[in-house]
Amino acid sequence: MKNQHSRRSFLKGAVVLPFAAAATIELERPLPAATEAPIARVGGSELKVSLNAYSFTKLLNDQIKNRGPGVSLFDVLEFCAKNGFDGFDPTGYFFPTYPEVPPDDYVNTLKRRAFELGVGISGTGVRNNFTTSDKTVRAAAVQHIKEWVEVASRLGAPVIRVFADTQMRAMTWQDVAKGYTRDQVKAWIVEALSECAEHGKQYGVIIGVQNHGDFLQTGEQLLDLVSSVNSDWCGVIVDTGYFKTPDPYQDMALVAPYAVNWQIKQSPFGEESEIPTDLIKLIKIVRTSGYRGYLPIETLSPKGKVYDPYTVIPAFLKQLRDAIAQTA
Amino acid sequence: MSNQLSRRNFVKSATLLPFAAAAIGGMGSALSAMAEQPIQRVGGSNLKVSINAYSFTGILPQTHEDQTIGASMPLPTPANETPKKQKKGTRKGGQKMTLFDLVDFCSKNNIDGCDPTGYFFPTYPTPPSDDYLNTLKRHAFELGVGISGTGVRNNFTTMDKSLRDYSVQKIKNWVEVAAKLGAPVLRVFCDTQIRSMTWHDVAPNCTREQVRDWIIADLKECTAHGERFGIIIGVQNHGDFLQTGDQVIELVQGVDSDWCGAIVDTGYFNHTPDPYAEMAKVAPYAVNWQVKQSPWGEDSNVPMDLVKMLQIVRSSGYCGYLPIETLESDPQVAVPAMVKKLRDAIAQTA
Repeated sequence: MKNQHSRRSFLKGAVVLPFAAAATIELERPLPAATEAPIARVGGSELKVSLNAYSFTKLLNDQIKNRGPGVSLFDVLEFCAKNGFDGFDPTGYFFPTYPEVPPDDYVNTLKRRAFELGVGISGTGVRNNFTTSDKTVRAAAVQHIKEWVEVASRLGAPVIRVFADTQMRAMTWQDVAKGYTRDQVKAWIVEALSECAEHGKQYGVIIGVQNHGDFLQTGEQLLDLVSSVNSDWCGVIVDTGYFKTPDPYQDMALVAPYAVNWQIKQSPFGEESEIPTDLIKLIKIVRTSGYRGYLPIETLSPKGKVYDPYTVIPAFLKQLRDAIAQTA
Repeated sequence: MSNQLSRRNFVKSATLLPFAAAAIGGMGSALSAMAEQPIQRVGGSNLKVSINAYSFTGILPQTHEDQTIGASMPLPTPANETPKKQKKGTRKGGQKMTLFDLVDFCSKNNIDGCDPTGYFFPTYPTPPSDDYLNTLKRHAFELGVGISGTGVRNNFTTMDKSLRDYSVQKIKNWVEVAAKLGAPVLRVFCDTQIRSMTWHDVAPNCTREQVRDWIIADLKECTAHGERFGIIIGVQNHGDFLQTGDQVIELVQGVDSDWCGAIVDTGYFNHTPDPYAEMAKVAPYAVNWQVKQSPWGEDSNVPMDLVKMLQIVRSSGYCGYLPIETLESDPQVAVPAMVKKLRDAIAQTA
């Protein structure tokens, strides 16, 4: 049973991959060597829309940090139900106890409430740093992810989002890796992710690696990393706003066949950019890959600008739904 | 937090309850004093289509237990597997499928979810290995197919307490399976699941009230386990002890927990003059549905009025999965046809 449904068993060689010819946009860059086989999907591309809690980051933190009434994860869940979202990503760092794990009672009640409202849990996520040369920091991050794998399992979240980038403001992996080479840092990350994926396997939760523009700037880098982990329990989260390349759509097309989840951003060029994501182009890439499942959106609050999630989110949701309908 | 979101919290007095007027037949005053409120929902009625594995019974190998085995029966734990006989179903030319194939079928036919029911797992009633469960869960996720619920067979109407205890233990075991699978609700019975027997046969000389009270006690024990593992116990009407909407509500209210709700089997209010009226009563308490081809039971040719049924679903504010269960010899044809009819009705009533 297990072997029959292992993605690894499909892995005979990158040359037989079916998707290269099927890509909507011609891939101009070759696949990294030793790439794992894409996820074998059947049927058409059925898409559901989800919301990442981060879109409410200020209001969620207002309540957690007692800065004001703010909102709770339960409030955001109701927002999702009222606005017709299919799913919700209650991200780890918006649970009141974070980084400590929440009590079972809290998790179970959130899960039940989501079910009662017909809103799926599309995933969750944590913050971690695997690029640092400090081994104890990396070990602590592995432990942290393991604990939250168990929360994800209890919550019914099929995937937990982790980083392979340096999650420290204004620092890069070179700053925290203190002179180690990219290959050495990659080896640290692969080792850490492998340990997390093993725990994920035990609890039925996929570890999703998200590109966040630092160690992982290109589709090739993301694919190379996930291929090196080489587990059915480790996959790609495509952050459409964090490829630091001239044509991010190329990167999205490259990794889409390996996607276990997405983060749909307003711009492919980062938070500060005014250039909107070409959602039709994006959804064509998603559909060509055969991806089925949730497309979570994450709206951002650029510095110095007014941001009202109650207007920005429904407007972006409508654009995404229109693009899904137009490409169906 | 759990207090904040408890349905129980809304209960201040039975006199405020909208359904109090429903004058539940045979219900003691002790029950009505702690009656639970309908589920508080927000937003529109967002509906997804699922299929129950039972639609493929005969193709999916089903594991049967002898429900009449009594006191000497060991409890089902991984260590002491209970006696069982595998029914090698061959409805359609001997073609077999697995639960993984069921997920593929949903994906190919764009069905939002599936209900991989307990008795189609190869180890039933023993829980499957974590590896099997996790792989099935991942396979469903990778194909964008939700797990809408699961279920087991049990018998709570019998006066044989050891048999009821066996059912309680089995349900507890499968609550944990449901949690691992990411299934939010586990379907259980309050009817006699023994062919051509009724609750009167297995509870001879007992009153309805007596049987009701022991069912409630058993359900409470299951529900407490569900609360621990984040799984809702869904009580399904199956035409024997539970023939009317009021009877379902009475039980759910008797259990009085956020972790116990109603599964509306639209084909098993067939002992009432107007099954649609019964569905409408139960809908506000629904945690899942079973959409059948006829409201009058397996042998009836009178089709379900799906538009009428959907209007009932939508009026209740129900959000989530509407699993269908077809009872046809060729599910490869019958299921997609029924899915199309249901989708049309959902669209028509949107």
